[in-house]
Amino acid sequence: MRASPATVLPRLVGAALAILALHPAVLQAQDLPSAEPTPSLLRQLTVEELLQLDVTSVSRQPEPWSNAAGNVFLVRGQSVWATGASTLPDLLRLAPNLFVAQSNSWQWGVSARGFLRSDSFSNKLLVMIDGRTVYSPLFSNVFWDSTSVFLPDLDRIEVISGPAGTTYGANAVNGVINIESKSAFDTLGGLAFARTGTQDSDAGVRYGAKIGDTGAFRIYAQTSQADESRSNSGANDDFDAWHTSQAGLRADWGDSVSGALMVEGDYFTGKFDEGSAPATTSEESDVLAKWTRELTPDSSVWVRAYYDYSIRDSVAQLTETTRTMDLEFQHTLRIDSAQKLVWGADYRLMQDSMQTVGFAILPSSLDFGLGSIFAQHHLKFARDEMELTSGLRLEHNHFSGWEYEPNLRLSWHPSDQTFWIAGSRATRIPSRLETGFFEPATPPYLVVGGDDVVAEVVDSYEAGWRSRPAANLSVTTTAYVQNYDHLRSVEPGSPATFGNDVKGRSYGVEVFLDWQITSWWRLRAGGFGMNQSTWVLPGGADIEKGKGESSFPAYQAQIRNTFHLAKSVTLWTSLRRIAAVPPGSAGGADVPAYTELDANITWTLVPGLDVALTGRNLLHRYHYEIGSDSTRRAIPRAIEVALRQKF
Amino acid sequence: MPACFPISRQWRCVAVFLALLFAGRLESGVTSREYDVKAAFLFNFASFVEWPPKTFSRSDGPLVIGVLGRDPFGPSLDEIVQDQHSHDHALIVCRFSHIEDMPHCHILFVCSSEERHMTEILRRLRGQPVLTVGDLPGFAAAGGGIGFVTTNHVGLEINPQAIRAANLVVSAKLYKVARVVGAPFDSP
Repeated sequence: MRASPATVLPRLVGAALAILALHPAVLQAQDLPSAEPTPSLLRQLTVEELLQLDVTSVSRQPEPWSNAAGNVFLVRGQSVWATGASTLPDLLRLAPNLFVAQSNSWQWGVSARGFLRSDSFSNKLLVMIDGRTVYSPLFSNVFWDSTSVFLPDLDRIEVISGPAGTTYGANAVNGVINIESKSAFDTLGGLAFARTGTQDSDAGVRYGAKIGDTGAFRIYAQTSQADESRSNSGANDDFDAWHTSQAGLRADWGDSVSGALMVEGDYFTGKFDEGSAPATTSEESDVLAKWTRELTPDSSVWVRAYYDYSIRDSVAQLTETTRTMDLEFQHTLRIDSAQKLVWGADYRLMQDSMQTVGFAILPSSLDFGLGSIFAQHHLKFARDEMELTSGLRLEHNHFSGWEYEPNLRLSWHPSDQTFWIAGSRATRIPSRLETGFFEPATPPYLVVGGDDVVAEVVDSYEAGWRSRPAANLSVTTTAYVQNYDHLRSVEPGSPATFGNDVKGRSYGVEVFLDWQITSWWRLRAGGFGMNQSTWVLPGGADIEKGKGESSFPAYQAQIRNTFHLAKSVTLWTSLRRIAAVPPGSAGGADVPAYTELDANITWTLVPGLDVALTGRNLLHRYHYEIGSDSTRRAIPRAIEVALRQKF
Repeated sequence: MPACFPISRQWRCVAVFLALLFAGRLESGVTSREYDVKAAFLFNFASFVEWPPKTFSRSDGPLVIGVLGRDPFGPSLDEIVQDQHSHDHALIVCRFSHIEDMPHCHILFVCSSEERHMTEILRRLRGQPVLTVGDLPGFAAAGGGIGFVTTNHVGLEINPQAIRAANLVVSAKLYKVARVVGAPFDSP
């Protein structure tokens, strides 16, 4: 019954694969092998491994299916090594409900259900790391260049497509990406990795240890660098190389029954070249604490606070300093066996200051708040086969005042299947730029900030079906229609200003299939098809003619295979096909449709020492993913080799 | 089946087993991860402990895991041991609510519902070839074989004297990962 340590890893992976494919409790679409201990998987673990498992962090969470009435895709921490991902956007390509487009060496556009700008900005997707938002209130965008975690300690990424404003608040319009790091109890010991290749290289080290009987901590440091992409004229113009360094720590104490405390902090610095212009630099530090405690067996509460300080200097034209303080609490109460109530409150204060050249952001420094309260009620009925979820968040922001974000979901769970329908509303609150952008720096202005810009609103209706037609096959399908109001417009005039004269509608389907074909071969396939239309309101005007956010493909399809070739050797391949991406308001030709292949082979040399060979974009020397005709850049093929040592 | 495992009890075991399987199915997903992990430990112990050969009815007779008191495992223990063998012994789970009803067990999990009877249970089992396991505070120190200590993780406490008194041999591997505690029972 016992196995030597040398066989533990492949056995774990194999067991996880088999169990995930077979276990009916796994309702959420899963990506790579999971260590989420289902009983049958637990059986495969050694005593040493059992001792490492965190038993409290998940045990008090809602039952698996209460969350599952929506399109949620999980990317597991194991996928990092299994796919050879070296950045978060690499990893996000695994989510079939997300579109990820690399714009140049250090810029990526990530969006769900449409609405991406050709410069890769996406203002309708909320991104959080351990509950700390990394969405920029200045630009209404997530800067993926500076959104970084120590990937070997990633626990999971939850990708939700569709509005989630009731649960997550402002800007969760088209989806939420929730990045969660592992508990310090799960990262004891040392780990070092190094990777180098034709395009980028990185290295990092982590060490974790116990603090007495009830605590644990880890510290980490990593550095990454990448070479430039190629210009669209074919020149290797030394345009966009970059490097970043990062260090941080996390500590956990106690358990969630009598009280658990988590504290983490990070420091990040990065330099990103922009051709002959001065480089963009970014510096970020954060500290976060979360306290969780069970009040009674049926009631638990958590409080989370964080402070984030960031400076971003964009080509020496805009230096933005932002301090963010956030305090949030949430209370979960099981009323009876059929009812659960979750409610909470959040307050965030942001203080920024701007230094600009050639334009102004007024006032040049501003303190602005974002506060909200929410409640969500879960009711099970019809022998627990049906669940009704109803919730509402009320939110107040500095720019557009009060907003409301309701959500109503009904799900039905006959055996091995889930059907759901949902209606929800979410908002994107105006950015600092829309309200305070003035050009030139002094009057007379050609462009002035919008006095009365309001929040963008989405009303979404979706229906989904998750089923298990065979023991080794699961399929998830979601269809949606989303109506958008008050989308941002730039109204021509003297001066020009910002408004909300654009309306839009999108509809589409998202599909994911997970098939354990044999004990050594697992296939996953997924993608989306969608249609997005936007138009300027009668009597309104937009210099982009409503096409500013139309750089999104009509479909995406991916097929991934995992082959366990031998006990210690695994091959992973991912083939993706992306439809043409419109150039947005800049005009010109579409980015052509493309097909690309990624592959990764991992080999455990001896227990604790692994090597990986990764190939990215193998089919073409260069290809384009997003951008306007004149500025788009070609993404090169990359071959990398990585070593990982645990100690 | 051994003589000490009368037929009526066997049937009771089967009935309880089925009932719990069924009940477990209805509420699957509600049991806590903590007890999933503890169930996996119980399963593991079967291969870390050597019992005297006479405790098995035949050389390939079943290895019985008993659960005494209000069962906290839900379906997880059954799912984990289902169709499993330790050496040649099939693993089976048997549940009962009074120590007097105890069939012959190799491993006995004492549920926290038995808090008030803990001392008496341990005294009754003293010297019998049964690995007692529990998660009541101080279970191992009070003379139990192995105690679970739950914080964020499930930790182990082991009482070598209690193990020896039960004529069991526990793999050195288990001693390495568990905290060793003393046993008041060996003192007169």
